[in-house]
Amino acid sequence: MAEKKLKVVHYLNQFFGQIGGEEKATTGFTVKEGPVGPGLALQKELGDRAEIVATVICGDDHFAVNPEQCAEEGLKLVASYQPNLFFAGPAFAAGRYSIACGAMCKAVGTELGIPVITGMHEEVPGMEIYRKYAFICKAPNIARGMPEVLRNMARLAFRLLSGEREMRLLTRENLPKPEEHNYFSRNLLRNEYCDKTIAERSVEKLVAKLQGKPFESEVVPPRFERVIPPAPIKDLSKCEIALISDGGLVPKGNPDGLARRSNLRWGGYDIEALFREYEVTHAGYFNDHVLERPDRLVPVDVMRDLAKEGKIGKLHRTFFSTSGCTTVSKRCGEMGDEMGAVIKKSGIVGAAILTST
Amino acid sequence: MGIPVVQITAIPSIAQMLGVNRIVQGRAVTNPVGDPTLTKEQEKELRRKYVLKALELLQKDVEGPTVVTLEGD
Repeated sequence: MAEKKLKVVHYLNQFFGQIGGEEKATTGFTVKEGPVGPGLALQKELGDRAEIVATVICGDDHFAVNPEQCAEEGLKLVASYQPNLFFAGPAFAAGRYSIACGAMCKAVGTELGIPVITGMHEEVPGMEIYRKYAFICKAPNIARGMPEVLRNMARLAFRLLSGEREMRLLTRENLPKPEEHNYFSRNLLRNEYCDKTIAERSVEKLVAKLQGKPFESEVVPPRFERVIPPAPIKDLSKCEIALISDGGLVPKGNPDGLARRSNLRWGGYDIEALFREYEVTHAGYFNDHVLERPDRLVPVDVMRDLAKEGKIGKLHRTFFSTSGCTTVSKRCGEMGDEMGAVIKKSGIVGAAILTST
Repeated sequence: MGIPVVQITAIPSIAQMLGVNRIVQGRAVTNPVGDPTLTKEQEKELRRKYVLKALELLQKDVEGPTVVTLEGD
């Protein structure tokens, strides 16, 4: 019995989507039935098992100005075809296009739960931002490498789908290895069955290391993302500034239950009330100096003076607090995102000072 | 695009490694913007210097992780 053909949707920019060059980069979304441009070559790689039913196209400038909103819009177009697979690009070394491919993959993968695959050169911003959310195949910095990248993308897609039936998503035994399939690591941990215990493997690797022999680490140290520096403050005298600290200064009684070590929580507190009655919940440093005078951690006295003198616009009334003692950096990043969302929502804060112990 | 953040920390190397873009080297781990060996007035004056340094950095364009100290850039 013939297997049912898999439905595929492909995302391209205005150039590869054959709408036009830079002069058409502000064009919004269009959908063309069937494969377009590189999609024709991708269709050949996919053969009879999968069919590109539609190509979603958007101008690079249009997308890059508002990636999140565009990804939402693009997702609706993609979802209407109920695909089993989603491809984007490849973007090669194109900055805006890489953001668009990454954002589309993230939206489609998260929402539809299907494999999402794209291709990029390692130096584009889209790679660092989106590699955790998509399979991003390694691509050269010029489009001449198109056939190889498309072949790799198709091969990876079938590999992902073939494992799906037996795949236990919780443990990811079938996750293809990045080095075997030439894609950028998604920072996912994969479980494997081993005949040897961890003690035996550790000793073997250590001995190999001491003897100068090659060995393969089972744990890859985290790679930290480049953060694009936000633009500086233009007019300090009009800027409302928030204070943040990871030193564990909390209201007396620690109402949100921040832990003294391996803490995963944060709180936003009225800064006036906090400075009247406080405590420190942090096991990673000697707390007495801060307990004696909390301004040593959170410079409220000076910020008040500067606001009075008109040097800064205002001190934001909410202080954002967490306790950073042996907290994993992943959770720190999430807490930063959560604080950032609250600060952004307030709409009045123009900058933040973060003090760390 | 988000808002600029400056981190005041006694250990700038960690902040740099993590990709923090604006960093001021603080006084000490236990008192990043203070010094218990000084008088109350001297200490507040010192704290003001740290905060002003941080505000200065918030008004500067940076390309990537940048560390400044009170003593000079």
